[in-house]
Amino acid sequence: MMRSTGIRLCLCILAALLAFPLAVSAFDGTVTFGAVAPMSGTNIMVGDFVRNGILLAQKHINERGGILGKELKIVFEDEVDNLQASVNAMTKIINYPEVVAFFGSTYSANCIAASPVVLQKKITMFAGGSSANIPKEKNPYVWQVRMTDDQSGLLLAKAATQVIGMKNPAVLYVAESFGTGLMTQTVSALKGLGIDVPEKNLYAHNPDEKQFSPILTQIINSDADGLIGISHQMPAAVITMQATAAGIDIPLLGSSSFASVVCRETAKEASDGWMGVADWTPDVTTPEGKAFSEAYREEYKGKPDSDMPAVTAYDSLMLFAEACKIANTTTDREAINNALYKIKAYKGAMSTYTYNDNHCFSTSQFLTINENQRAVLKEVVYTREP
Amino acid sequence: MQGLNILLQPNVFMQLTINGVAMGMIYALMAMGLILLIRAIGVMNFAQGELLMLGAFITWGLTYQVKLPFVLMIPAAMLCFAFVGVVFMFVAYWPLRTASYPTATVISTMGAAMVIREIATITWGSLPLVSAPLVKGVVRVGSLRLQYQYLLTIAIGAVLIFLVFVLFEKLYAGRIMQAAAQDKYAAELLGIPTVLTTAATYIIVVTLASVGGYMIAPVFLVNVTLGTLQLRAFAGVVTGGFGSVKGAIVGSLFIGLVESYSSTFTTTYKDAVVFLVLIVVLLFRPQGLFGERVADKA
Repeated sequence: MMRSTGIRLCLCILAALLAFPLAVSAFDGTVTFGAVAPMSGTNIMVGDFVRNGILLAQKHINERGGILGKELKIVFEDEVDNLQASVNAMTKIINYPEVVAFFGSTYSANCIAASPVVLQKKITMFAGGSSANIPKEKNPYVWQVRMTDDQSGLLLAKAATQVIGMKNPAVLYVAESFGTGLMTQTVSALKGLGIDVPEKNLYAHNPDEKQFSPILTQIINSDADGLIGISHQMPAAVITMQATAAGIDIPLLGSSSFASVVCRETAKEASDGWMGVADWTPDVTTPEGKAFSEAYREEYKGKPDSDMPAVTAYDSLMLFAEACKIANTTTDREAINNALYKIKAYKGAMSTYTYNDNHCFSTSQFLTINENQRAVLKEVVYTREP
Repeated sequence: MQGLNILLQPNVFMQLTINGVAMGMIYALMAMGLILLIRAIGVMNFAQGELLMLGAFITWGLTYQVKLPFVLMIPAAMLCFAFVGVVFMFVAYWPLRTASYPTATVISTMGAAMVIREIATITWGSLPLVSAPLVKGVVRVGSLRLQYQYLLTIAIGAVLIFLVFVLFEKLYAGRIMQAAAQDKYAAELLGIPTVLTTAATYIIVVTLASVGGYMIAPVFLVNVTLGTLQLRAFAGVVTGGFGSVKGAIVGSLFIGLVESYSSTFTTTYKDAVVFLVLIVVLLFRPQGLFGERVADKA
């Protein structure tokens, strides 16, 4: 009797010991990262991608044991579809005491508007935008994962002249911070390559433009021997559709948006034939890129394939985790920000990241061509040593 | 000068004219709706663009989600438009019609615009949707290429405008609606059910905007930003003369053409040119092209 009671007691103690690790968290505390995305309003599709990218990164990081053993938590704020709401959302995130760093707006103008608050609060912001005006703020707490437009402009110019052979291109661009910046850089780079783009070949469109036929009519009836499109994803889709309907028959080259999932899946066969200098294509061939692309498809079955805002958000969070590891802290904001200066040859999904003086990490983009509604990778093009 | 040279190229001019008239027709459908509501209940509807957007989504849903053939889709869409019109009236206008603060109904339409936009986002998602054109292809006249969709938009817009004219100028039902709009109290004394005439006006307004949405969906895609077209319809209404149906139509066509032609001079400030022209028109004719001077009325 005594013996069987002893055995039962031992078994109970053993069971309790075995169960103990299950009863407590596998993590030693938490670390909170903020993310701003348009979760309502007209840019909600961008917000969906950002959210998906952040949540996938959170899942992957926590599956690998978190950051320095701490569970990664995410706080989202909705930036809706206007500058004021975006700045409000970022200001709110900045003022959460538990947030150590955050992913800012995907829109450059919004990032620039929030820059003074970021500087005042000394909190790391990964800007989702690619404008070359962001580094001009010289804010030590603002970082860009994507390649800045001055570099993209050079790649666009090289693709237009050296790959396609344009000699007198027309440039159709969105008239806001990103579009005007990239257009200026592209035209400047073209000039460096011996091609002067006359003023009459520059066509701006408003961000909410839907009627491109008048502009395309003029391009068709001009002496332009190629079209370079610089715009956001939805206008890019409309441009490709209206260009096809108008019967445009000159070589076509576009910024990242023209190779985007939104553009290709929306415009379908109308997007075919457009070459693109893109931040991202799900047809990426690097191991890290392929892993992300496949994981995204698996995680978000039935939803659109991964797109630039998703992979930008994903890699931003991965760089944050890397910085925490370099700094060996998840709480010291200043140390984490300083650690970002030490990022070198970090292999992300979108690019191999290395710190640059302008606070931009990306070292490469993809030259793609849309075929059968896929952005087929032609070449990975580097602007500097990874 | 360079812009003028481009504009005067026959191909460019012809193409821009067709584009401008087609867009003017869309603005006219929205503008007519605006005028009908102003005349019927004295309310400026700030959700007119969103109604156009909703029409595009409804017809897309019936075609690609419910998979109705065209002949069934049209009557089903009309029923949906009527339903939306009645719901819009009873939610955004009816409870506030006796409010002591007269602009409450106007504010209500602004709120309704946001609600419609979010409902569309929740229902159909955030990605733009593709709607096939009613007639694919282009007409080639020499080196000129005119899209059938634009020509069809012009034709259908013209037919709808004609039908609205017939309704209000020739038919008894239209006169009843006008009478109820002019003097609700007297109309009720005569036994005219003003709630029904108001509902009929809302149904017509929603139908006009929705058909516009259906016509432009293949060109502009179906998405929540379609509502931004409303601003040009407002410009059309003001240019034509506040309160005049004829003025709204002519004003909208004028705005469409100015918008199209101005793109040869500037594409960046195309919108600014439209509203600059509007200001110039108002400087010389403050009452708009077809409006009556308030002082003359007095």
